[in-house]
Amino acid sequence: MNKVSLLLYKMVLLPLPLFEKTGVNVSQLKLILRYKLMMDDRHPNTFQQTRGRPKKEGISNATIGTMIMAFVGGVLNLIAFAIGVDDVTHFSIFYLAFLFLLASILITDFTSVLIDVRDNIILLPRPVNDRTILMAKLMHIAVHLSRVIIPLTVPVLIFVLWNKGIWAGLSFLFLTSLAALFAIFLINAAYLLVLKIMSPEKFKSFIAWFQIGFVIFIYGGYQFFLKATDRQDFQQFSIDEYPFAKFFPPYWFAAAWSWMNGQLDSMGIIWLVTSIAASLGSIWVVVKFLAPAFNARLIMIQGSGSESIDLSKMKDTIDLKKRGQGIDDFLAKLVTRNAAERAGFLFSWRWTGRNRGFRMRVYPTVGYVIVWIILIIVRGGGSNTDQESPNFSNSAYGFLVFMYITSFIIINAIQNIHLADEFKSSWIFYSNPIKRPGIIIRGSFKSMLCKFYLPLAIILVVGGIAWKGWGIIPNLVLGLSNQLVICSIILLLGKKAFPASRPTEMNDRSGNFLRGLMMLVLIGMAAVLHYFVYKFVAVVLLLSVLSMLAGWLLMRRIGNISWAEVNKSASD
Amino acid sequence: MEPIILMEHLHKSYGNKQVLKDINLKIYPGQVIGYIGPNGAGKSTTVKILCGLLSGFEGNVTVKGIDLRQDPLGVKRIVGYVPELADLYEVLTPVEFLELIAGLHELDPAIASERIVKMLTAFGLEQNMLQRMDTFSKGMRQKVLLISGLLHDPDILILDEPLSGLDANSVIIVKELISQLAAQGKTIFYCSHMMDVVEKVCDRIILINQGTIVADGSFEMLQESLGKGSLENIFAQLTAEVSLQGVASSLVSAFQKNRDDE
Repeated sequence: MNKVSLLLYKMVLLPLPLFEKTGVNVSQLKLILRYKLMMDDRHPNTFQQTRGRPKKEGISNATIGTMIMAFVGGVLNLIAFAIGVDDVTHFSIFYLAFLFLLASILITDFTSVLIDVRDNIILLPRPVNDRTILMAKLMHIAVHLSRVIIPLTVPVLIFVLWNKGIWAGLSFLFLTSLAALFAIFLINAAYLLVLKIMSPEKFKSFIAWFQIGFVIFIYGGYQFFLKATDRQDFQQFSIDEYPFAKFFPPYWFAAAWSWMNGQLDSMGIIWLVTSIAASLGSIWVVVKFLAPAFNARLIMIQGSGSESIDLSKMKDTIDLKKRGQGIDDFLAKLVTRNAAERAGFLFSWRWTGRNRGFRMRVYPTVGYVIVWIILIIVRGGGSNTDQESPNFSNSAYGFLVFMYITSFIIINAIQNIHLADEFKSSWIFYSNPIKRPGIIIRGSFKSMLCKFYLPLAIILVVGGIAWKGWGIIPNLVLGLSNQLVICSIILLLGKKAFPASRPTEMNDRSGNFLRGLMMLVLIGMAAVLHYFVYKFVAVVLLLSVLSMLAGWLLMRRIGNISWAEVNKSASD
Repeated sequence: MEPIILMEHLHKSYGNKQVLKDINLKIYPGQVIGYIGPNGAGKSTTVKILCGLLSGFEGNVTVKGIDLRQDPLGVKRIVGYVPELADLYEVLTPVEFLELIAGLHELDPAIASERIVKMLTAFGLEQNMLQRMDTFSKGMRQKVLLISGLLHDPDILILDEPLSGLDANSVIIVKELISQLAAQGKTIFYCSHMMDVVEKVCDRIILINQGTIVADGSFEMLQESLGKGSLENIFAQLTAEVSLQGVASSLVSAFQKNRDDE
């Protein structure tokens, strides 16, 4: 275990005596958690690596990168202290951003850990009870999430200590820990509840849709809070002017801090009680009500249950007569040039449609895009009457934002396509006579484009023409082509690997969502550049030609990815 | 004598599909049970229920007087399970992995540590004790798995294809191990498709087909009632629905059309 993990391990075990009374076997929990963290530091060997040459253990660059990103996020969170007139408002805005970010990371990067079935056969035949295993999983998530929580909190902590003193800092630290526990347990409780009330077979197909809905709910709530309190005099208002705010968890923690620092009357203690009750209560609900029978459910999800299901009755069973006539085959014929590329295309298409891990990592991003789209439409409608803000729906800006942010989904898909729990099955790519791995990778890339880019592109084209008229076409071409170029660049700069051929590493997990956001910043820059030329049709046309040329060259480059590059990516 | 494993009217369904249909079994201490059957017959389901991994069954299962439904952890403490196709935490060394297993069984670390080294050495893995298991061959992994099932000195040992990947010498060791454990009064539940081994190692053979027990007795008893011949023949006689030679011929003939085209 590296030093960071060891420290975090000790930290999350602090409230352990509390758990003991609830039926968790503490010594087993410690053992499982210690081993899990130890294993997280060791990278599994893949085919490309020389046998018996384990990599150095320690803090990876990816971990440091994630921590830096979270720290930058923490600095940005200081903006909260410029909004509103009192501390309740400042802290409400801070906890809003804090809880939202944690919830997002939990949903996209960590829920697959909760229902990870890989070690069922190792742990479950041993005399370990449900509560201990579930708690070990949640503590494991907590340790990894701490790598984001701590750097995210530190800038604000320093600010609070500096401006308001030691007690203010300590109470902030206490409440932030409670808020983090609240987020971890509440989000996971939602999944456990769904797992409890649904049959395992239904759960498997439902979970990705649940994730999308959950993201829309959480992110919608976040945006609602921000919108409802968005005012011109943003420095002069108090959150207390909005009675609805009291129903939102960020307010509870903020008001608890205010009471602890003597800013509220004696009745303010209610907020401290609410904060504590919400955090410990969510833990209690998880351990007491949701943990029992958790393992039995996990075993059923694993497929040992479904292997005996009457396959002929299953919806996705392939009808022999209809083979080769599906949308996947049709698209494969259309966009691939040879058998190997076609194989890559079809494999990725089918695997991403059926693999739970992939769906759980990528589908939630659909939720964000849906909320963004709704926001743009709502904001556009509202701004027609608001003379002071730019007329959003008629401006180029609105449409460009619309066009570029949709690539959040395809970017996440590209970043996740090579990650799989069953990465060892990728031996098929190594044992078959493939001259250039790029062909397979390009097939897989095209399949992701067809699945996560093409539908949106069609919506954008149809919607764009309906919204702006035929004149939008040059800008549509440029925007869509730019998206392709950006995606190709992201693929070429990232790990060059076959689909489903690399292990998902715990240490790298919390960075996925943050990296997706960073990529979105890059895309935002492209959108801004596009905005400047939007009105000059000749320039747009010229840039479109250049962009398409670049896209074509990049596609060729992807197809030429060599074995040496794939092997190098694997050993990095 | 009291049976150590008692299954009464055991039923298990997945959705509408019934996998186990009224299984009734009494197994006594010291018996080596060969639990055989075609793919999908319900063997794994029985084993998973017996190990406390699967719930939601009908009927009663009692292991050494413990009701499986009431106290699954109690059953897990006295059962050693060596699963088929099991994953290991292969970034660990065998010693680390086995220490984890010992910890989960709450064995005293000093006793566990000594036992782990002895068992690994006995299996010829003393040179590999501190190597990560991702470099191990299939047979070496299988040895570690076997040890993980034996480590806590269980009363009942459930082995699912335990010889898979083992070299000839190790196969002899495991066979000998099974008979010595049985002599000590341990009960062995042996699932396998290798009929010749089952025939030699097991003193009672239970054949399950489509969720029902279709034969139960010693090899000699089965021969008496079903005619002389190997266990393989008896198995085919009771479970095969089509001509097995015919299947092989149609596999080979699948090439034929392409060849004609060429």
